[in-house]
Amino acid sequence: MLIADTNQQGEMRVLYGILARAAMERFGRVPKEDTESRDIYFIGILRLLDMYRFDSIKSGAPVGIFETPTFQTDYLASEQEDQGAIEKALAATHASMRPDQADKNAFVEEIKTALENVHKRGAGASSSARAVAKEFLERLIQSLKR
Amino acid sequence: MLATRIFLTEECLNIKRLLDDTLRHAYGSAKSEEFYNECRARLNSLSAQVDVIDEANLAEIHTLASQIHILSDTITKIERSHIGELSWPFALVIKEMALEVCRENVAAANEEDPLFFFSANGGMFVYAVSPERTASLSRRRIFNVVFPRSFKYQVLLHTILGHEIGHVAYAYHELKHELETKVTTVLLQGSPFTSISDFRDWLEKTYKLKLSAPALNDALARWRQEYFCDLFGLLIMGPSFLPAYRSLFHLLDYTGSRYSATHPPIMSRYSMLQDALTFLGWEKWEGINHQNLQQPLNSMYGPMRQHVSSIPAAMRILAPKQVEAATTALQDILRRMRNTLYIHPKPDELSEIVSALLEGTPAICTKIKVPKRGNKKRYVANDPIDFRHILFAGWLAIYHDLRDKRELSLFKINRLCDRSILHQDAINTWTEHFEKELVPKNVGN
Repeated sequence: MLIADTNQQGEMRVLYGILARAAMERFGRVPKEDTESRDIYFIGILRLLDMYRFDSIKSGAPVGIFETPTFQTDYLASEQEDQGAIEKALAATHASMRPDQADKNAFVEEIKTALENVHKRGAGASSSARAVAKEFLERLIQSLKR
Repeated sequence: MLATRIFLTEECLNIKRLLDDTLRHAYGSAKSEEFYNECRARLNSLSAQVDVIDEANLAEIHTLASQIHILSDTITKIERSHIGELSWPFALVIKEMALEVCRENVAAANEEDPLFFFSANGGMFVYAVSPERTASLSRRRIFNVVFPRSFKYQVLLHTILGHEIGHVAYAYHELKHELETKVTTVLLQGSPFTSISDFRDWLEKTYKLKLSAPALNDALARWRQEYFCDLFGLLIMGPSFLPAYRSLFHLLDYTGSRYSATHPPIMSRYSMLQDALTFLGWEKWEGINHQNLQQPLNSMYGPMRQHVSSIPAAMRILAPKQVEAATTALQDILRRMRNTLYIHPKPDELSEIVSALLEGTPAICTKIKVPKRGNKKRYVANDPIDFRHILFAGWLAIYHDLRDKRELSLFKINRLCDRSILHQDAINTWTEHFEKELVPKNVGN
């Protein structure tokens, strides 16, 4: 038996907060510096946006075709609560940034375009892309803290 | 107690040493370098966060510690992945197929191709293709394909991995959304698996079970995905998916109705697959009347059909017309993904492979041909054989009456199929470089 229950992934909500903050800290840097970490932080946020767009945040990790693990109800409850918190944080960010734009697709496309621009160009990204990406990350970080 | 930042900084350095000790030096291939680069990038991104973390923020410390733990675990699993423990010809073809499923979605998400590594575990029921959790610090996704160690050469059973490729498809959010909308929802329409309340009522009625809300949500999402993956496995692997599936499941749950929080009852899955098989017309395919194929095809399909006909109505949960509609929708999606949709061979071609296996030789379709037009110089042609046709032929050889007379064990048929796939891979590599090699005139005289 293991010394302790190691089936704890940490909170997704906290992880995305770290990713968002790390991505924002790299706004003013030259993309060639710190390329790998920069990729990881931005890709993490881009994937999160796709999960929001396609309603995929609430999903458990798949198990093998014959695998029958037992999931503890309290573990499932905390995992689903965590996923729900992320979904709410993104919805709140969306609503506060674009209150008249209910369409998730359009919102995600706009944010992804801005983030990709900043990811590739860093300080050289267009000012509008920088403003949109910055506002999104700031609001997301705040929403994830609640 | 160690100060948390000091501890985590030290562990990041430990992982760097581990990475350099294993993935950098122990293997020389380009693929090993890809894993090394990905893991190094993950480590750097974690180290950068450990450097700036607020030690009073315990939630962030816990989350970073978990990510460091996951990275260490991943590197160790990759390190212990030994290709000699499994059928690597099969591993290569399954990886190619999985990559086809990922490719367009990877492009849409501005990602690079994912990485696949293979490992073997003890036990018969360990087959899996495990995607990483979405919430992880990663650039390229890493999938671990797991085979049962004792089944090293049992490639005919490996067709079960078709189901697992379905989970790979579900790991890409855009594709998952399309599959959920166009296939899974259609497949389950009219069943108790369309809403939480229907599912709860059905579980209470069928199993006298009352699950908590989180457990109910989790089980419903999992069951829906499992039905989809079964259909996916059948459509990408072809008929040989079924005997592998049934052979293994029968040992796991002979009642077919046992409750599991992660997978729907097996009888309902048998029933759904039989409906799909009937709709696909594979039991009435022209090869059924072929002299060399009729007997093994009947021996393979007959007992399965008979068994399904005895499944109680309560376990025939999905409506056949929904299975048909979902099958058609999934076929349309798979046609987009080069070579993933299984297509039946011509009966004579399949018969040749079956005969080769029954004669104790791997299946190779190398022939000397004469061009229909132009000069009449004969040439060596290597007609490619789809690995799924080799596996289908392998199962038919297993069911063939001649197998016992020729004293071909299950092991030998499996090894012949394994070798056939290996040879085919070599032929494909050769053909890419020298498509048509001219043969001296005296060959064949």
